[in-house]
Amino acid sequence: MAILNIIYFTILRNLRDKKDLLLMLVMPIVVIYILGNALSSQFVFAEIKRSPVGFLNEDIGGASARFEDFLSSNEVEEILEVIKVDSYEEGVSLVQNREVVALIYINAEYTQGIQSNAGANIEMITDLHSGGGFYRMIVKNVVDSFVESNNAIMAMTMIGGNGGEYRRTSAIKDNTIDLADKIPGSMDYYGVTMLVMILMYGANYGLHGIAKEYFVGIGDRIKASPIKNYQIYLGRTLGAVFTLFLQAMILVFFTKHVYGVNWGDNLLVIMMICLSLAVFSVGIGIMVCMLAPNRKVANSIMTILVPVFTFLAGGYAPIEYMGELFNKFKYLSPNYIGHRAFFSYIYGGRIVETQLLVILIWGLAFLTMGLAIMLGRRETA
Amino acid sequence: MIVEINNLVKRYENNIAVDHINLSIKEGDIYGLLGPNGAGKTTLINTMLCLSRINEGQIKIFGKDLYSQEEEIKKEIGIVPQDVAIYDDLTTYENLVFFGKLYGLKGNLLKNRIDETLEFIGLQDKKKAYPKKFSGGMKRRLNIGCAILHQPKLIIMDEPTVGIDPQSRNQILESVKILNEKGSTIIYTSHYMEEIEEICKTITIIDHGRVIASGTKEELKNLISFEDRITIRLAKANNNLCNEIKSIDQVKECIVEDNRLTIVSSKNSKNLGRIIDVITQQNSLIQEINLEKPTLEGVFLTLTGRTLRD
Repeated sequence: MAILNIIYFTILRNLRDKKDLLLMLVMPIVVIYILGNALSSQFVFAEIKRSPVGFLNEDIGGASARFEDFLSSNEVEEILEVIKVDSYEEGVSLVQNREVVALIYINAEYTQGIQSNAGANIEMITDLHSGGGFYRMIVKNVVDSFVESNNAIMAMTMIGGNGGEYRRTSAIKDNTIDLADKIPGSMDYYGVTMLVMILMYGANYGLHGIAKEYFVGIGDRIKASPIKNYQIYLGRTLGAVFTLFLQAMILVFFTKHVYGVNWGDNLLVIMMICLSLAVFSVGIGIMVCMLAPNRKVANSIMTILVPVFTFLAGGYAPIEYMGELFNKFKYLSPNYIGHRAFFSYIYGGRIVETQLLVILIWGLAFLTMGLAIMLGRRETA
Repeated sequence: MIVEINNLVKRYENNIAVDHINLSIKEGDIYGLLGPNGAGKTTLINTMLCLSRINEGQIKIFGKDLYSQEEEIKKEIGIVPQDVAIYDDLTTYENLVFFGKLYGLKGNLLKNRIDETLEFIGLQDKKKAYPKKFSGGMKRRLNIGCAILHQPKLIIMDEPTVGIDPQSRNQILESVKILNEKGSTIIYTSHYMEEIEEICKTITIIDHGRVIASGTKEELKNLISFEDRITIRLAKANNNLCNEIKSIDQVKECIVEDNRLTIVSSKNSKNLGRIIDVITQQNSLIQEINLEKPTLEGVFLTLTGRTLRD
């Protein structure tokens, strides 16, 4: 069959291109190794320590004793290191010097406020510019949980109930979570992002495969043969997709067995994502080929687009470290969809999300191919 | 007729590339399409291969309507494009396999045809080599090989000798003659008048998308052959000699300039012997005689007012 002939020779020619092979296989393997080692510290998840917190109780009544009792409970002591201070100034100074993440302050009118129903506050003084947001959040949650339970007791008392009892129980079943393979290390991260990057670079296979027919004389020669146009383009497209898929799988196997990259338990899912991205990427290449006035411009567009897409999606460095602005741009990059499809399956085990993303990728692939066909028809009319 | 083109029109926006062309090509012919670059030759070829849609007219090849039986017709056509259209990253053999399979060849038939073709184009020892290392002539030969592998009834060669050395050009011209002797009808386009004159049996001159003239070489030359022109260089020439020559029957004009006589006679006057007698009687030494024959270049010049390479 003529179409198999075109597929076979397309793959053969793609695999013979040493420059492309260098870009598609050797380059990502080297980059994963370099970035994976150089930025490994960014991917170390430190143990959560007790949050140091200053505490000053100036209440002249007895209501605050309940809070002190709460702070000294074993459960709270496991997460907060309470440092009692003698004055408000001393507490603020500790916060400013970053010796504590917050100062918990109960003023002199606390009991009186509760008794008179005028309201009472437990204040939390922090320095928002000092960093340590995560630890501040822990302190706030601890204080909030006391205030909420205290409010509940008060409300029950006001409606005549017996709200005086304060009993500590736990509804939490304590299970150990094994984090191995649940959080990507640097090699795991770059394994995925570089794979998505080469899949996107694969747009060049679509571009060159079709451009050869579209801009260069050899295409006319093939069109002059007794083969239908759709067979030519389908053959080229399938050849490009298969080449790309093959290269992606080589990268997956290499990184899995040499670098120990985590690709999850089910290789079929990874293969499916790779295939979907390969079709999408080739579709982008063909579309650019049809949009561009000539092969040179088409080449230039792809040379610029792929690294930009990779960068925006956090392919070179996680976007979380690049600030809010960059975080928004990630949605402009098709690589981001690829990253999410892989990460949600490998680390979240969210197969439904992965399935939805794969459907989205196929949708985009059909869209790009459809646009390419429309543009192609317009050109040949 | 193997090809019949009636009233063909092809426009590109406001430009008319093929302007109401009519052609009839006989089976077994080597049919030359002669015209300068941009005359419309390649556009005409492209319409015959369905590479370009026509605006008006009809094309019949092998007696079948091109647009209703495109696939069937294309199976019997071999195209040698103007630009070398082969894959540099496939070997000679692989290129032939690729194009052979496009025309439905497979198995032993394909293998045998490849062997025959390699021998014909003289690239047997290069079957495993990549064309990127070939000379221009070798690439052109492989370009032809890919077109004749399926032994087509009609071979269209669009300027197949552009940019190659004289030796390779002669090889290609010889191969065209052999292919024709083996039974293929050839359509050969060129802006090289000498090539067309050497190999083509029928010639159509095209300019600005129109047929200027059509016929055999002789028929075309007869269009402009009303007189014979002879130039004779002498050791010493003078006006007396010129006047004496003018008195010879059917001599219309004689001009002397720098010891060179230019003599114009009626066509086929056969008076060269008498002219030489007069010169020798005057004891003038003849150094060179040229009998100028009409050429296709002259035909084109006469009909269009410009040369083929303008």
